[in-house]
Amino acid sequence: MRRGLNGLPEGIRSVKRVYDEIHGYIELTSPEVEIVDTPTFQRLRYIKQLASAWYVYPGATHTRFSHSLGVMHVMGILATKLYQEGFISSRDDVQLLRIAAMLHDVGHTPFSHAIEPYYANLDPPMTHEELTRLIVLRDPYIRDALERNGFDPWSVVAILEGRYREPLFNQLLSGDLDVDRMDYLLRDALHTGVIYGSIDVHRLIATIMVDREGSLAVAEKGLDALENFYLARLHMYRAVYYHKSIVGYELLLRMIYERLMELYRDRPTVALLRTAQGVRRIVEEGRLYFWHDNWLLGLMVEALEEDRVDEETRELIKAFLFRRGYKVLLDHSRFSDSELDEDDEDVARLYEISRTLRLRMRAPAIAVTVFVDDIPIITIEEAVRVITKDGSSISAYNHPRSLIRFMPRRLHVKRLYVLAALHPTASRILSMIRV
Amino acid sequence: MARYSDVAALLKALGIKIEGDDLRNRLVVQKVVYLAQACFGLDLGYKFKWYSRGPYSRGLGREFGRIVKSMDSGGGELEWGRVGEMRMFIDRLRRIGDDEAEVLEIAASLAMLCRDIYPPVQDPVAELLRRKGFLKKEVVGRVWEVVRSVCCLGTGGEH
Repeated sequence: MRRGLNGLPEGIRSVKRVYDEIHGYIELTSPEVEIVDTPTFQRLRYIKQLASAWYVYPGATHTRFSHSLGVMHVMGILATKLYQEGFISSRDDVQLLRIAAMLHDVGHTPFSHAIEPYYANLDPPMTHEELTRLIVLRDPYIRDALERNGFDPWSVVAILEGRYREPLFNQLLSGDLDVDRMDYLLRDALHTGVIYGSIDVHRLIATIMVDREGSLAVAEKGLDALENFYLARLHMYRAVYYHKSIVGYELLLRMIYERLMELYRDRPTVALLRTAQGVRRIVEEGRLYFWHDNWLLGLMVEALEEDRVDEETRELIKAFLFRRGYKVLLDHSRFSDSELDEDDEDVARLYEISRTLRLRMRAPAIAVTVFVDDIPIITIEEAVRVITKDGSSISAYNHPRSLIRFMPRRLHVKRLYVLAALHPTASRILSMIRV
Repeated sequence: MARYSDVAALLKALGIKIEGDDLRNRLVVQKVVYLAQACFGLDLGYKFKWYSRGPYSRGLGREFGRIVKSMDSGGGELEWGRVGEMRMFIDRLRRIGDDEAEVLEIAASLAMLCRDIYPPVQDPVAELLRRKGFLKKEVVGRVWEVVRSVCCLGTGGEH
């Protein structure tokens, strides 16, 4: 194998290898093995990368663990290339970047994006990024593994937060074309079977350069691969990340989590998980290992058997466990070049219909719900730059031969969901309203 | 009031016009909000990373259209005690160069270099010139004179 294609520059020794379904052998150095072996990192084995997407795509059971190793590997390949080309000055920096990459998702909650809004809405809030920072700096296992191997946890945090002193390092992990996206598009496309979500990662890496301003850019000859990357992302938003049924199950999980946090507030662990300060305490005591998808599923199963759990919560849990969750009744989603208006007529109408349905069906508030999101596909400031033949670089969004300039800039998701059991009734009422 | 409405009100209070959706106007909004948060303590809740043109908030970039719309409809009033102080700061920056966007970009970049970048940067002017070799040293130096006293005194500690 050519040096660098295994993700390690000459002089950095692998002590272990793991076989990965995307990249083949992933080499691990001694500090990386120490981090992987911590209870905090092992937790990622029990958090699925795509939360409840396996309800729609049965193969989508891959985890944050394999993704984290994949991101580290892609970072290794790209950083080694940049090191060989003189844009990264030392091998130690390649190692630091690999470690930052492997830790970038360590702060995900159980079921990731489904549950994270619960924590973002706390007072004070706790976002996924804040939790990651807390774990790197305060989790005794991760912090000790870093410090024992001579790595400054603050440097790792600075890279993860995009404010490290070497600006190139920030772009590698949090730019439009970053190693996180390169791995998750490949991995999610493979496991869902959505083949048009895949990308040519080797072509992308081979054509990535650094422009005159020190920013990551793609050579003109890599334009096809770059276009494919943006198109793949767009397809994955629509076919997977915002798939109607997957979003429905994530809404359901969020509601169940809120209720279980309230119902079990007298349990010491749940009492801690209800506040940002409590989560902080769990992290600092090195007890985060239990907080994953399986823990939440166990709590849900337990709740079904408990008398104190109200009937409505039980119905929600059954709807999730037995795959009888929300079904879309109306979907006005569409692409757009502008942001979604706050007074969007479609959205107002969906809320109006949801109120009418609740009244006519005499159903509880949870029976009908509206989901609205405004997803940026391309943002002018973030668009990857393309290096032209004269050596200058321009935004891919402005490149005269690029398809990217014709792509929609946003996806507006506007949907009305009804619990599956009530869907036939709701459909009948809806047809009467429309008449 | 939504935070993007606060941004629109801030820009209006500072006398900054945003007309049209282009990179220049987007940069101006980014840099003004960064300076307001970092140097004047206005808590709008945006998180900034270092991007190719200095401090950049993805969340703010996503709300640009709403900010412009809010400004077009007259914008609200911002109840914030340091508006006058920040307006004087922006006026001092404007006197340095004709290109308002460029001066703001330099100011916000210098502020981020002295406040948020880790490991700490000893000489923000030299570091900015290293990162953006096309900038004029004399202009960067003059902007630094304005930024240093307002944004960079007493920085350090937890990064």
